[in-house]
Amino acid sequence: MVLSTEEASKQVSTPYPPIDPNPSFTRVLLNFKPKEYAVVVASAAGSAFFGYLAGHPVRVPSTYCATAIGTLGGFCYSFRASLGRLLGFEPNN
Amino acid sequence: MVIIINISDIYIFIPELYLTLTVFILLIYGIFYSTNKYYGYPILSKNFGYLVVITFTYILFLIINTPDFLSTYFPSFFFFNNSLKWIKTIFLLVGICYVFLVISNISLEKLNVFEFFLLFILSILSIFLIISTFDLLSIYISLEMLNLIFYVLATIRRTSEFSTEAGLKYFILGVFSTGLLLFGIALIYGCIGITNFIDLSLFFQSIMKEKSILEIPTDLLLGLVFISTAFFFKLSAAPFHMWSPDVYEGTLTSIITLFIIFTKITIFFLFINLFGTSLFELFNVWQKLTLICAFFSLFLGTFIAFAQTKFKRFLAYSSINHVGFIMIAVSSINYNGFYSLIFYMMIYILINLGIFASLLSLRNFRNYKFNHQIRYISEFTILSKTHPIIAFSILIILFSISGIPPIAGFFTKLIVFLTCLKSSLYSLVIFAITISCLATFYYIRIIKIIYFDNCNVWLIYVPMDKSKAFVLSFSVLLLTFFCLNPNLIINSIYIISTIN
Repeated sequence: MVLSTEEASKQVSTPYPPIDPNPSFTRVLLNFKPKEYAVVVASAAGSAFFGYLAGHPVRVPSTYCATAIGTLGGFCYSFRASLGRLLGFEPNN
Repeated sequence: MVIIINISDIYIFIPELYLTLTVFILLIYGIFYSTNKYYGYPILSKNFGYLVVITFTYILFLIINTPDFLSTYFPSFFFFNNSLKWIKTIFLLVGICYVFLVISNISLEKLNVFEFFLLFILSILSIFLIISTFDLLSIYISLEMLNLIFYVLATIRRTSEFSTEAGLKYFILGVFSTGLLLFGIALIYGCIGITNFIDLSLFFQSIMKEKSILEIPTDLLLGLVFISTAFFFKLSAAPFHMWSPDVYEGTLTSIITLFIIFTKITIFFLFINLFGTSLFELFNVWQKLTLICAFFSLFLGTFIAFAQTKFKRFLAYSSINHVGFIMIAVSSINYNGFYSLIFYMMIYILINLGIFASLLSLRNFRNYKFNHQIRYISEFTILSKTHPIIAFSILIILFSISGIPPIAGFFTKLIVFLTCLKSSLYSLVIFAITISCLATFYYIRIIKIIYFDNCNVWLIYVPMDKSKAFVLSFSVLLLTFFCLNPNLIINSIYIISTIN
């Protein structure tokens, strides 16, 4: 079974018109809105706080680990929102 | 065969990708700091538990914010629809409740390994993959991932011979059942060259227009039988149940919760995905297999449980009984069959969360040095005097399991029986009602032991912690007050079972 990128990208019907059916990683990052940057920062900060509270007996390393988890989570949310706008899954006025 | 992964696949796969990357972060953190001399080689198990809760919260957020659509990805090995979104949400919520249940028990059991929670996250990842499968090959790969994790978890207490024996039994019999699954997949592929669910569905729809069941190649039917046998093995449905009481008895109580709740729910969803959609045309074949297993599960799960004195073995046979009821719901062809199945599984999750919250909190504080989990049913005699609220909670949960109204368990059995009557399975309903009445005996027997038996040995139990109390109260309140506002759960289940 051989699929071209064009055929593969046509498999999914989207509710909104796609801006770019096969965007690059950089293009998705550049398409971030300020709200999405705020989500990354907020999730990192919130996770750091909970990581410190739950970090007994290693509070500082636990804070770093929780910050990494939170940053990754916020980044994944923002990346998907940005990618969704480019692919046409989310509103992209 | 060239498979091109499109970036739209990444869009759908982001929660699972996040889970995988979080496992890497936690693994590096665990390895570096658990062996860190500066921090005094700290025990990180509780810390990991809270980090897992943070992770699950983010994944919950990611999954709930997924837009509604229907698609396959990677390509057509997995699928995504709106009902999967809510099923994954339920698994995550149950996962968070599970972490609250076991987080303090890990240190009491002296299971000071951070890998326990890593394996739990990986098991949730494999569960997500299993319920999203759309191909026979991806069933095998994701199911085997879950099995390998559970083999390790069964033997995680390396200093215990019981644990090692249980893990070894689970491994050998699990591998045997996986062999059956693979053989069934190989027979189907060898006969028709198809593994994808949609292709299988189209094939059987076209072939059943021209041929009867008797004209279908034997290899195909044998493949179906082997695959369903493998699933029944994993579910510990009778007559393939022999391994489960021994494995449950030897494994830690914290880990049995995983086996009883997560494995059974996952395999049943997989069963519906495969047999309810792509192999739906062969319903007359797999319905008979399901009915035979339902009959044996109800019969053996009831009568062998009478003889049990150890609580873990009793729970194993009780879960076999539950599997029998769920298989009755699966055997009903119409839409209501799936609705009653999902409803039964929701209440089954609540019941098991409650029973394990009670069980995990009952640690015998003997000699003020050694404490062990309650083992025998006879050790419940002291409970109504020392822990009246826990005793009452166990009473509510046991009433729910036995199907006494107006607790939620009664409505689950009622809906399953009504679904069977609609499908004209009259003799099965009469048998199931009889078995349900007989099974009530051994649940009521526990209540009699708790409230009416004379206590000869006064045991001191470790006080229940807040996280277990939260899970227990959540479970008992929902089970008890379900009858006051049943629409709360029924409407949500209706939405999950009808969308896409």
